[in-house]
Amino acid sequence: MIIVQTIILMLCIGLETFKQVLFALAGKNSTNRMTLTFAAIFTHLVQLGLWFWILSLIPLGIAFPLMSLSFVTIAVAGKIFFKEKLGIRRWAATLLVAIGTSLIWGH
Amino acid sequence: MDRMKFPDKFPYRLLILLVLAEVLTLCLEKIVVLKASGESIDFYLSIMLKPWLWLVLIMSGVQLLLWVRILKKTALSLAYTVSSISVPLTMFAAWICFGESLSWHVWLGAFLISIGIILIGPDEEPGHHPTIYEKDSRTEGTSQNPI
Repeated sequence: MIIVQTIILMLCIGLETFKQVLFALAGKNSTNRMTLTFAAIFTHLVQLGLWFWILSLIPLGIAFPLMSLSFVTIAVAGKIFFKEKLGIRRWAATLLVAIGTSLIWGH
Repeated sequence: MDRMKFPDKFPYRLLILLVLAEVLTLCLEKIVVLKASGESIDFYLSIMLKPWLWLVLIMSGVQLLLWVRILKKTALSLAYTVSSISVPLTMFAAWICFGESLSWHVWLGAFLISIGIILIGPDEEPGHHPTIYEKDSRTEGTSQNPI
């Protein structure tokens, strides 16, 4: 059962990251702004569906801090797609979030 | 040069509203799930027939609009960092409103996560690179929103 929850949560974090990349693209790309924004909103709705599923399996007070892992994936996505810089400070921050998440998950 | 004095321009009220909207939305989502019944398809059908879902969708729209307004006034990374307060606030709300008992592991984990998010935070020291406050939110682009 714990495997199912992990997979759905990972999917949710992945969709969150994808949505942020779409919003970022919509901000940078003025010709396809509407299409990208609608794609982002659609992604949000799919994510909402998965999120309801998670909330029916684990408590909100545990699920929401776990979603914070998306701060890390978004930072990494920013590095990959938009060549944003990740310094030592950000890698340290990523490590902290990862440790915090695993503490909650391990519980 | 006025923009360098960001505390004057920093949209505290909008950010407080955003954080409150976020916590409220999460509580509404929790209520949606508590009110739902059944498994798989029945579960989603029962969600769609409840008015709570519409409240969630409206609140998501409100959050998006608030976020766009905030990004017009301040740097994305700074706003994102401040909005991370919603993590412990949501845990408090879950504890008080829904009686979820959270062990100290979870609180410690959330504390580490919050510090991590704050560290990810602002791109540069304010003042060293005042230009980050002058960027148009459109050209800045990365309109990440924490919905």
